[in-house]
Order: sequence, then structure tokens, then C-alpha cells
Amino acid sequence: MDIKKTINGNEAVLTVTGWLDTQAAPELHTELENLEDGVEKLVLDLAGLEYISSSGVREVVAAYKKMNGALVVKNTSAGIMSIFKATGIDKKIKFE
Amino acid sequence: MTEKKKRRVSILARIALLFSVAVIISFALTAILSNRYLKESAANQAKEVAEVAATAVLTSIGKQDNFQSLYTDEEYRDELHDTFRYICQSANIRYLYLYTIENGDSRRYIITAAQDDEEDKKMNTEFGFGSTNTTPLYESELEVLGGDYDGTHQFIDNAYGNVCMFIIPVLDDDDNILAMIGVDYSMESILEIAKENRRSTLLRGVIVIAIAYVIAFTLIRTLVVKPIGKLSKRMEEFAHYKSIEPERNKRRTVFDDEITDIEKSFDIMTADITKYITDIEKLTGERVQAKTELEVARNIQFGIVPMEHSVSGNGYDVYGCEYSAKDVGGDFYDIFELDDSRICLVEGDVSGKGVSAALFMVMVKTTLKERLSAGASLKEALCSVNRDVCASNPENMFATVFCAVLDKKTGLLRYANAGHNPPVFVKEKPEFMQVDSGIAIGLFDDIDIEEEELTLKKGEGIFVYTDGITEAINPVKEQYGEERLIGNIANEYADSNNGVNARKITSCIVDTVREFAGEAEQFDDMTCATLLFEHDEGDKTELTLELASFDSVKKTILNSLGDNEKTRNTILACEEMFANIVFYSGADNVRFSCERVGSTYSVTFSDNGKPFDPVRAKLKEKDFEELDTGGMGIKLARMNSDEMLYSRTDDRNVLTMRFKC
Repeated sequence: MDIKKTINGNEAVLTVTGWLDTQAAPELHTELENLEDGVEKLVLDLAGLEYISSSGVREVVAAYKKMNGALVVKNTSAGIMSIFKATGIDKKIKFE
Repeated sequence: MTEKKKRRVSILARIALLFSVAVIISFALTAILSNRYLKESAANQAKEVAEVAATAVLTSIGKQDNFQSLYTDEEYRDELHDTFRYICQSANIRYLYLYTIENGDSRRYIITAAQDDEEDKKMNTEFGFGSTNTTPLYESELEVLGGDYDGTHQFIDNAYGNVCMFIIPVLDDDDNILAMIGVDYSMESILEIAKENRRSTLLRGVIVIAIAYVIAFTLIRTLVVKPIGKLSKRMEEFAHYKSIEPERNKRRTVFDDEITDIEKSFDIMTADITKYITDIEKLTGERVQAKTELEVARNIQFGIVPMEHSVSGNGYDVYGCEYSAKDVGGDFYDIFELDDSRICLVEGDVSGKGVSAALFMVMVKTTLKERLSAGASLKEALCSVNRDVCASNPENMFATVFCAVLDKKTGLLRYANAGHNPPVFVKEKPEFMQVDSGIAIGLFDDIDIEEEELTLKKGEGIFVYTDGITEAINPVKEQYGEERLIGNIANEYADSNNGVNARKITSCIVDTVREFAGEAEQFDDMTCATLLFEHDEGDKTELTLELASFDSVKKTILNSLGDNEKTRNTILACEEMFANIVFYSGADNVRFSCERVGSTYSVTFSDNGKPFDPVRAKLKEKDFEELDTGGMGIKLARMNSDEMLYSRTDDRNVLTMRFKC
């Protein structure tokens, strides 16, 4: 898994590619913990995400809570989306 | 092809039309011809009558001695006039006159008479005795004067009417012309009679033709149109229902004709077609039944020899597949574990094809497995199966069999051959194994099979196949051959970069054979299998309880199923369950194995942690806010697996997940 971060003013974009499995999830967790102060909006770009496990989904929920809802998940593939739907988080989180 | 609907004109209408045209033409011709004939015959008749009348007049004048007295004796003239009139009336002559020609150009009348009373009076006034007429002489008169004393005719059509004039001279003894007799025979009356005759003849003709018409049409209708109509109905009925009642709409005839010939031919044809239809239906029925039976046989065979079967646990990787050329074949392979550390691979080919070969194959395969499972050595098992088969082999069938047993702890491969092609030793530089050829099962009851052995290194293995692989032909009848086989295995081995995989090697060979054969029809079954030794240090079926251990599981699944979305869902289910064991089971030991039979892929985890049944465990519905604390794993595993089985065996949680692939 690979995570790239870009900051545009008060908006941060995390581009996650590869396999976000149980082993890789803590990496995303650390990335979220270390998010700069002053970031008011978070965008998760999942265009290159090939796989996500429940621990990955947990980190997405954690990001939502951390940002107080100011989270947008975009470019989700159909396969990954079906897992988000299976866990029910699509009802709360905004997907683009 | 659609045919444009044409206007329908019945045969009867066509015949009527033709007939009418013919009648009209013949009537017209008759009218033209009869008109000409009518005139001619009328003229002839007129001539005859005129001649007869003239002769009568001549006779009545009698002796020429008296002739001069005509000029003087009025009484005599009156008498003759009466005679003339009598002749006129009885012979239907219009005018009768006796005259002389004076100076060769004018006429002087002696007696004139007319048929009609009025006209007679008028004539006697106008052309009475001694009166002259200077109308130029007619040709006939000139001819008579010129010496034609037998009399001449001329047809005159003028103010006095349409007449046939006949002039005959009255001669004295010296043939001098004393006077001329003129007879005007009225053509009108004769033409009138002739026309009347013609009218009545035509009327009769029309009646006769009309009767003939009716009779002819009734006959044509009865003898031609109706039979054709009936036949056409029968044909229509046959075309529609594909069957016909033999006597329905059938015509009874006294004599045979062309239509009877057609009817007979049609009867023969329908009988033939009906027979063919029945035959074909029967045949199709039989074929469908046979096909269904074959399909059932094929399904049973797939149960016995699955199209694909793979077993991989740490220590070995086996994959076999079969593609039958026909519905059922005699090729087989078998993969089964003899005990915890040994796996057996059997490959065989039965002589012949079809159901009998398949039945023979089943017998060989099941008895062999049974003997080997019961603990017999490869040699003992093959010899014992051979004895059993020979004891009852009415069809004289035989099977070539190669079997091998790999001990995953040591890499020791023991193998025995009963007449099968030598397998390929799969390694960096693949080569055919030097195996004893042995002798096929079913031929002789006292055969001796040699059992040999070989120790495999990690990543090495064997590839077994039937001759459907090496003898596959391309469209130009070249064989795939052993060199290509070795070459392609070498290529695949080199490409896999030491991450060799039984499924990939086997699929590569099947794919290259198919590619090679191209359009050529597969004429033999293709069955092949690869057994690889993947032994590393220690018993790797046991995974350490850390998340990183899942990497090898993931790699094994990806190797077996290839990377695609379905495979990722399979990995997701496995990862969730594995993570569950790592985080919550409290186990210190977890084992993993996977197997593929046909289109079903199974993964089994067994751990010695506290009892937990993820299949029946009731999952708490969590709120969104709590989701970051977990609780989605088992749900995802359930959703992404097709079947989950749990058992608590020997103080271990044994969980098997099945996936359709």
C-alpha cells in the first residue's frame, strides 16, 4: 500500500493505492493521527485502491469521526464500493 | 424468401377466356367468309333464275315467224305481256323486257313487264311499246351484240335497284338478232333471303356453341378442376398437419388419367414422407435419450474425475485437469492425501472411448485409490488392481497408469508405472523421467511393476499427462510433440521466477496445446496434472500467529485462482477470519490448507484457541459511531464466501470456507 498526501490550504488529500489490508491499516491510522492542524476538510482518493479489509474500513470511519464529518471519499471502484456498502458506511460518508 | 402474392385466376376462368376468344375469332372469320360466299351464291342463283326466265320467254315467243306480228298485233303483245308477268311473279323477277337496239346505241321497247303491279303500270307508261331509252348500252348488251348469243350477265346497282341483268338475243334462222330479252333479277330479295338464312344459321350456331360450352365446362369442372382442387386441398392439409387420412377428399374414378397419376404419386409421396417423419422422430427421440444418458454419464464422470482439482497446503502444490474430446472418455487423474504427510497423484488412460471406457476407468481408479488408502505400496496396489481387472475383463480393455506419492516432509517421491508415458521431471531444465515402462493394467494377470523413487528439491516436481497432449495435431497434421512439451514447461518454469505453481504450469501446457491445435478438432482427451514439492524448513502448514503470516496464504490463493475481483473477495474473507484468530482466539498455533475440486475452492484454518463458531455466532448490529472499533470482519467473511463450515475437532476450531470459482 502507498499513501500520498497533498495539502491545499485547509484541505488535505490522501491518495491511497494498492492493498489496504489488516497489516497496512495502521499506516493509514498513523497518517490520520499526524494530520496537520488547521486541516478542515479531508479527501480520500481511492482511485488506485485494489483491496480493502475491515480494518481499512475502520480507518475510514475513524477519519470521518476525526474530521467531524468533513470527509469526502472519491474515485471508489465498484469492487471497493460493494464492501463499503456491505458495512453500511455508505449511509453516512459522502462518496463522490 | 417471401413470395409476392399474385392475383388468383382459376383454371376454369382461363379456359373460359380462351374458349371465348376462340369462338369470337371463329365467328368473325365465318362472318367474313360467309358474306363473300353469300354474294357469290346469290349471284349464281340470280344468274340461273335469270337464264331460266329468259329461256322461258324465248320459248313463249315461240316461232320467230310470228315475231313481226308483235309490232302489229297488240293482242298478241298483251298476251305475251301476261306471260311475262306470270314468269316475273313465279320466278321472282323484277323486270322482264323485250326490245330491239336501234342504230347500235338506243333501245326500243316492245314489251316490258314488272313483278309488282304498280311498277308494271309505271313501266308500261314509261317504257311502253315503241318507247326508246338512250341510256348507254351496258357491257352485257354490247357483248351480245358482239356475238355472244348464249346470253351474258351483268350486275347493276343503280336507281332501279340492285339487280342481276341477263341479256339474251332472239335470233332468226340465220342467227340474225331480231330482238333482245332482258331479265332483271332483283338481288335485294335474294340477298334478303340469304341474310335471313344466315341469321337463322348463326342463331342456331350460337345455341349449339352455348350448349357445347356448358357441356364442355361441366366436363372440365368435373374431370379436371374439381379433382385438382381436391388434390390441392389434400396437399394443403398434408403440408399443414404433416399427416393425412388416406380416404379423405379422395376422388373415385372409372378411368385413369393424368390427374389420377398425380394423385397416385401424391399418395406414395405422403406415405413416404409420413414414414420418414415417424422414423426421424423415433431416431431423434432415441438420440435425445442417448444424449441425455451420455450427459448423465458425463456428469457422473465429472463427479469422479473433476475437470479441475487442486490441493495445496504448505509442502506441496498439486493441480490436475481433464478436457474430454467426447462426451465421456477414459482418461483420468486422481489427487488424494494418503496421510498427514503424503499426497498421491494418479494419472491414467483407458483404451477406447465412450461409456465402456469410462466404466472401466472408474473401476481402475476407485480400486486403486482404495488399495493405496488401505496402505498398499504403489507396486502392490497396481499389481492387485491388475489381477482384479484381469479376472473379469470381457471387453479386453486395458489402462495405462502412472502413480506417484510425495512425502512432503522429506521430498521423497515414490512412483510406479504401468505402461503410461513417462512424466516430465519439472525443474529448471525439465526432462523426461527415466521410468520403467511397466505394462498396462488388464492385459496379463501376472505382471511385475517396479517401484522407483526420487528425492525432489524445493520447487521441483513432476508433470503427468496423457497422449492427448503430445499427440494433439494442428490443422497441418503436425503433432504437438514431446519437444514442445519440454520447451513450454521450461519457459513457464523460467518465467515463474522460482514462484512455480502447479496450476500455472498445467494451464500453460493446456493453453499452448489449444493454441497449437488452432482450428483442428480435439480428437483425444487431454488430461494432465502437476505435482510440485514446496517443502521448506519445518511444517509450514502451521502459521505463526501474526498478521504477516497471512502473506503466504494470500500468495497461495492468488497462485491458485489468479488475481481478479472474485479472488480478492476470497482473500478478504480469509484475511478477516485469519485476523480474527490472531486477535481474539488466544491460540498459539494455526494451520492453513486449501484445495480446489472442480469449480469449488476451499480454504481451511484450524487453531487451538478458545472455542468460537463464526458460522453461528450472533453478530451485534453496531452503530456507525462504533464501527471504528471493529465488528465487521465476520460479516464480510460470511458475505464473501459461498459456504462456511465450522467444527470443533481435537480441541481445535476448524473453519472451512468454500468459494465458487
